[in-house]
Amino acid sequence: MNRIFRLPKGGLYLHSQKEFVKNLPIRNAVLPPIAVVPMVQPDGNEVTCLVHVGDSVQEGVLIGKGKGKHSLHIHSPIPGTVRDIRNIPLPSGMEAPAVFIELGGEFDRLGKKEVVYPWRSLSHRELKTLLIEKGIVDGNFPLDGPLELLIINGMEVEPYLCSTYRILMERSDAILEGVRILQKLLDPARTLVVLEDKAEEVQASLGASLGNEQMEGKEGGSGKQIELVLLEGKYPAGDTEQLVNIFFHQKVTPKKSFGEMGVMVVDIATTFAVYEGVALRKPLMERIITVSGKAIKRPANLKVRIGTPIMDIIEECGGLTQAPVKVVCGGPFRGLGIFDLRTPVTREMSGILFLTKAEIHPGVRTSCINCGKCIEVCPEGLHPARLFKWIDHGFYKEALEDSLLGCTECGCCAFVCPSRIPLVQGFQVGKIHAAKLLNTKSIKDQPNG
Amino acid sequence: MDETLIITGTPQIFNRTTTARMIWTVCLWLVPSALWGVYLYGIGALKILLASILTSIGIEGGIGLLRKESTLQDGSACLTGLLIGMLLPPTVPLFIPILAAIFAQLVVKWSFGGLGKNWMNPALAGWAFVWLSFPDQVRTWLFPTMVRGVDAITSSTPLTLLKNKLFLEGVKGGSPMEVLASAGFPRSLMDGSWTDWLNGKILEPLGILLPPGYMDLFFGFIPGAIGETSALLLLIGTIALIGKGILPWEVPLSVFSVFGILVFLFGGLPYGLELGTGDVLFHFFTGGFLLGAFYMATDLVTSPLTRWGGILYGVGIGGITFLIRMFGGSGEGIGFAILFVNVFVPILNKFLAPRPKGRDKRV
Repeated sequence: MNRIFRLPKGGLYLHSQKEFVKNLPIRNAVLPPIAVVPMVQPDGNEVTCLVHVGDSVQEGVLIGKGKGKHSLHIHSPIPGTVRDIRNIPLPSGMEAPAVFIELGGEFDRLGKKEVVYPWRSLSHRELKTLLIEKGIVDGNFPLDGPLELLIINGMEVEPYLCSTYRILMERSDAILEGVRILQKLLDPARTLVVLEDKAEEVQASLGASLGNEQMEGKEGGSGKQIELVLLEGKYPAGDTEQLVNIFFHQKVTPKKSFGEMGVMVVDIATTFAVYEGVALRKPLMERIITVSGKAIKRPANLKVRIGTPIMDIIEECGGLTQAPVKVVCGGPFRGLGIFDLRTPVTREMSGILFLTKAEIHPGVRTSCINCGKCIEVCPEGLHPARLFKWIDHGFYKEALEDSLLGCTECGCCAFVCPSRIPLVQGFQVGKIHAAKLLNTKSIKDQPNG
Repeated sequence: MDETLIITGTPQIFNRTTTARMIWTVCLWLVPSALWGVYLYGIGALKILLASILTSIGIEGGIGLLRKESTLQDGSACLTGLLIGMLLPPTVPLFIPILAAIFAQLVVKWSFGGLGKNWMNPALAGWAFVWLSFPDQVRTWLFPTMVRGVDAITSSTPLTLLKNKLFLEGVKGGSPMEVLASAGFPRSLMDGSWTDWLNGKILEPLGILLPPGYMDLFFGFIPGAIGETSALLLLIGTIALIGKGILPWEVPLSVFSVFGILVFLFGGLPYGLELGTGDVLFHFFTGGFLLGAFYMATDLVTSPLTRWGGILYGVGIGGITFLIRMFGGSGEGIGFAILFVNVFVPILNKFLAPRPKGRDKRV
């Protein structure tokens, strides 16, 4: 517990900008008059819509089902009537069909006492079915153990975001239960809960929950060990790739997925959803988000229904103090800017930021001055400036040899670049071209290909 | 308000520092040293500074017009001009700074494609061009008027005087300060009083005694190039810039330690003194060493990319400066040392490139 793990290379100490919302308890947002539920899987695949215009739906009822065996289920976040099904823009820039549900009718859950179902007697198969039915995991989530290492990711190193922090502070018992469920499901040899070194309150709160659990004897003494480990709060220490690299003894190879290697990283929001799905039998229809940025009047940590348009959230937070130049879904490093305030909250969103120009420090792109700052901060030990030049001039093979695929797109290099070179976009484009190159090469390598 | 939202790729926020901000900040912190030169040597120094700055800016603007893309706002033209002016003695005719600026901008910087593409420090290259082309004009120095209370007179810098004594007259057996004193190198009135004060209040209880002459070097009451004389003002600027993270600390650190150690060990030998008697303080404060080590060697464009590259680069500069000063014909040395090591920067960048995680080979 005392040892503080470190990011082996690069990374950034950032001004956390968390003081706006860090100490604000999570509150429930008002239900949206119209919820807009995108009918799309997180990986962009299509979803079969199970409702039609004019249907009345209940809270938490299944309205969309992915194609394929373990696909993601989508539930109605509010009770009401389906008014429309049409395409909307998503934060990713794609368009997808969405179901418009107008609020109305009876609530099944809201205002009623939470019933906690016993889950320890459930079989592995039953647990798995529950998680899929409640729409908490999708097909990409390997649900069969045994794992060598399960990492619960309690790091939140991106500026502004506090949702993970608030969940850990307020619902540490639930998180612990969630971890226990995951342990039962995945049967890991070791379980680590990674917390930020400076977040002593969180360490104390989770430590207290662990103590309580032991006193109540819920695990009956046979429970698996949960280890709390500390990691320095340097961006991008909370990235899956970095966590696996730091805590997993095996050398990471790009050929195998993490699941195949026997390691899995689960974030706090998912752990919380696992708890709610299994112990409360509640489908995934809410998300805890941080609303922050200098342009919003009353920053907050909100529990919102998925499908709530961002416009409604602005209203919920007292409106805007000034026109933001960027509205970002997610953190300021990994998050995506949106251009339409009717975009709804999606299941991946950890926050919505209304950023002013003074917070962004935008600049005009100028030529590279070889300052080497990008090299200094790259957590993967790459040479971002040279990689970008390869790609900019169309030398994709050379970029691949220069470890282009090692880039995790964390954005540290682009953040520090004084010439404002769009490095991350460059690498994204480069990866697309490099993938084409790899495909044609592999075809050529095959006999008779 | 939807129309005003910006959409970019990730990341959505940036560090405050931009290239232009960095370069303008360096310019700003160089201004006190340049103005000190104007104070010492009079309005002639100001004319030289303005000539090089305006020429440099004019060329940048002209090229901007041709390329239909202005690069004036990044400040690099202004910095190049300012540095050229600061490197020149206050007596040169005005065509010299103009020629130096033209060479720096057109040949060294823009023939390679502008800021970031040049492999040699433009200001230093411009200085070297006129230094080699007009040896007489560029090696005539002025004695600061306020030191002796008379009109400015031509003089040599402490380092060139030392060189002449050593090579031409064969003076041996004395530290640099003793040689200067015996040659009748004048000292300002402030020097005596400041040295007394410092010795009485701070150094004597510690058992050290500062000989006279150093305070002149430190405050800058000596003949020299317009911007190189005041160690105090240069140090203040450097501390501010390194503190802000604008100048790297690795390069100056290794330049200073290597040069300092070499001077300490072997600096006394040419004067017939023993090993370990070199006058480190004297050599730090003369010959534009501070200006070179802090503001020219640290030029981001022409210094290596990685930390270890920077350290090796500094070792090279420190070592070659030492060699030129002790055994070469020129007293200054650091300018040519930097230009010489600039040549090796691509090799340092190649062999000290970062090592990607999970790969044993450097790429």
